[in-house]
Amino acid sequence: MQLNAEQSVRPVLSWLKQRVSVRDTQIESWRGGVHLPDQKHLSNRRHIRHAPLPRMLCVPLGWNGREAQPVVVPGQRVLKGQAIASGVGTAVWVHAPTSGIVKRIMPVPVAPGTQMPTCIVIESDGEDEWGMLEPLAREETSIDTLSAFLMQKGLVGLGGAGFPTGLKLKGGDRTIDTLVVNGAECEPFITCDDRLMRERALSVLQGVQVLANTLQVDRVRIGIEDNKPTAIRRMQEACAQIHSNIEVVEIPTRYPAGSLRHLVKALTGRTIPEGALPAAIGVTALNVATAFAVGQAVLEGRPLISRIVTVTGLCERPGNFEVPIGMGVRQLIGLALPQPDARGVHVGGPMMGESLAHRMSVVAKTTSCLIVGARSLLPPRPEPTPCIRCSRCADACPVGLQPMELFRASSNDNRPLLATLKINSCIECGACSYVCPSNIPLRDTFRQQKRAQAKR
Amino acid sequence: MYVIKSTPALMLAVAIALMPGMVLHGLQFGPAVWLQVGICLVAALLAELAAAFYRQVGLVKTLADCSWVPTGLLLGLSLAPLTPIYLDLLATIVAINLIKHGAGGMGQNRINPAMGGLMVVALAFPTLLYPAPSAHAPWLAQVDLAQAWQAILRIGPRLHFDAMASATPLANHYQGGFSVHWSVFGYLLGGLALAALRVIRLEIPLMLLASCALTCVALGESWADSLTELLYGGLMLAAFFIATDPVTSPVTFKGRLVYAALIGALIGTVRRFGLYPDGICIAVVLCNLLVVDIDRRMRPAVFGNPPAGR
Repeated sequence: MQLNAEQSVRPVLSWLKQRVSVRDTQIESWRGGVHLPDQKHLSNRRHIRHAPLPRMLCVPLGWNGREAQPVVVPGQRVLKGQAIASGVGTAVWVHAPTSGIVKRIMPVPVAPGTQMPTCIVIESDGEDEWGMLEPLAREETSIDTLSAFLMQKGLVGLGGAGFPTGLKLKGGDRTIDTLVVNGAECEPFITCDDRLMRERALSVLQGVQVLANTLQVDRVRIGIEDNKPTAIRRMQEACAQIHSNIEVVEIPTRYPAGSLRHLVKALTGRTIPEGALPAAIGVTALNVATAFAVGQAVLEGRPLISRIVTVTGLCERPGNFEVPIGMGVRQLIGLALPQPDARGVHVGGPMMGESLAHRMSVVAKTTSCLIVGARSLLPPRPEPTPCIRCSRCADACPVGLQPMELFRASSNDNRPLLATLKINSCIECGACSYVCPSNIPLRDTFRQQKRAQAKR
Repeated sequence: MYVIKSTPALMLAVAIALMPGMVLHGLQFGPAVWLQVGICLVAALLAELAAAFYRQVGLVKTLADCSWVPTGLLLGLSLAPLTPIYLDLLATIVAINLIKHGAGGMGQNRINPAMGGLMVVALAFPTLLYPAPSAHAPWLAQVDLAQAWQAILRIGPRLHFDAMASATPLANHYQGGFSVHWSVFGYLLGGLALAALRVIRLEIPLMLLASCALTCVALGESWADSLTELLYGGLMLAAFFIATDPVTSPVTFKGRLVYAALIGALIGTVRRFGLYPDGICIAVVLCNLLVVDIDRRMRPAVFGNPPAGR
């Protein structure tokens, strides 16, 4: 057996490259990022289960001040899928997740968040009787029609931010040539998109095609992290089955690969300028779950009244549940049989998410994941010690910031320096805090600083 | 992703990585080496205790960051053996109390504490120091612990080995000729282990050594001489353990290359032209002071922004 010289040198070279390299890992597209223990095995082995219909549902009317106006009154009977609040301005319409009687209209805490948006409380009558479903007439697929239709069907981004999908589409005019679909799911623990792509690949693609046809884009790319081989295979098979030119792209597993600007960079090579929307570079991007919901709305007329939520952590039967919007978080967790000694619940991924603020919170359209037993699985970091400028944070930062300098500038509230260091480019992914050997809450500091600056 | 995850652990890792070099150095030059290191470590602990007391920052909190351990060890290894104990104390006080705590504690100092302390002693009191051990004249190996204590405490007659004036181990090439220090291999081993554990950045020692050798060649030394320069323990210690101090080195890859190249070039220049043999501590301290400017000029571009100005 002959070993050529290059082969024997390569491991040495790669070792050296890793030691000497500026960044932890580098693919051509973007620098930085961290490898996280992904914990996806906990919840990705079971099929999506339908949560049994709860007796009471508290359906939130909106988020961040974007609230719909109720069009029902207490005592009124509503059917499943019937509009119960109308979107005004930038708010999307809200629909009844099941049939029943409207009981009250009152503020209720939602997960995630600390706000208490107005909710319509519906007592289920157990019939689960559908109202009239009106799909979109396929002939009229202009962007404006689709965008208005999606507002009416209550569509928001299901990846986390909850931005109304209709508004997002409206933002892009005819210059959009690429549709990017986000199936990266880079946060540990979360598997709802993974299971969705495995089990409903065709429906996801139908939604993607509706969007692609309406936007008249040249290219459609779906980015999926390579730690989800089954999802990738199912999506590729589905693409082949319907003879579409949608490309399923395997991207390296590296947090935060699913961040909008990083995914766009990885899939198109284009950089979204700071402060601009993807439309500025001819791209529209949305999440796979959103694409699925778009397909459901357009083809079957189903409004967004349920979503898939991962319930994981210290549970006997963790997994993914199709949950009606407005179901109580505690009730949902009960379905996964939490261990009796599990304490604390975390909403969203461990990196970007937050602790459950209120025990009585309900599931909103942006609730992606509930981690049970957060107090032991995601323990708080020890007391911070001084920064020793090890620059691990700078290596980990996916946008090339210098977190150690930003932290010093934040501590001194040196606003000109913060602007020079581009604090507003921070995507608050938390990679810096994760690698900091001194346990400095870098991300939280920057988040506070950004919010304080925005208020001024 | 990182094997060593906390700041005290990083400090202790550096301390442990110094062990092979320290042991070899002592085996070659006698127990006086270890005595020196032990004294400096205890002095560092006392200095840290004092700082905790007068700064009122809490004893446990101050000691627990462990940054005094590598400082003490580095001082012990870079000060010449048999240095009078009051000079050990002076160097330690300058390093820990003035340079580190004077700047506000760990992470705030702009110059490497050990090098600052060493520089003060070496520049101010050169005649009180014994010459650094050399493989040519391994006189130090004959000094036993009792004699060493006498010399350190200045209670016996001065040992008569100091034909040559001051020289710390960081400068022991000064006699010329080839003398292998066993400690070189220990420091190399420890340094590479630290790089493998990603405690230090390998680009700094590599660039420093290359730059030092190239500078010597550029200044008229032969290649053979320039390369054997690298085999003195002091340079290896500086390259892997002193210049790599994260607190006082740049935070970008390019910045680190510039910084290490400058240190290497300065060491080479001081050795070639300087009357004074302690090139390393001067080179390191000078370049430490440049770090803020290097960092400011080498800020990388931020994703989605035009390349950084200033």
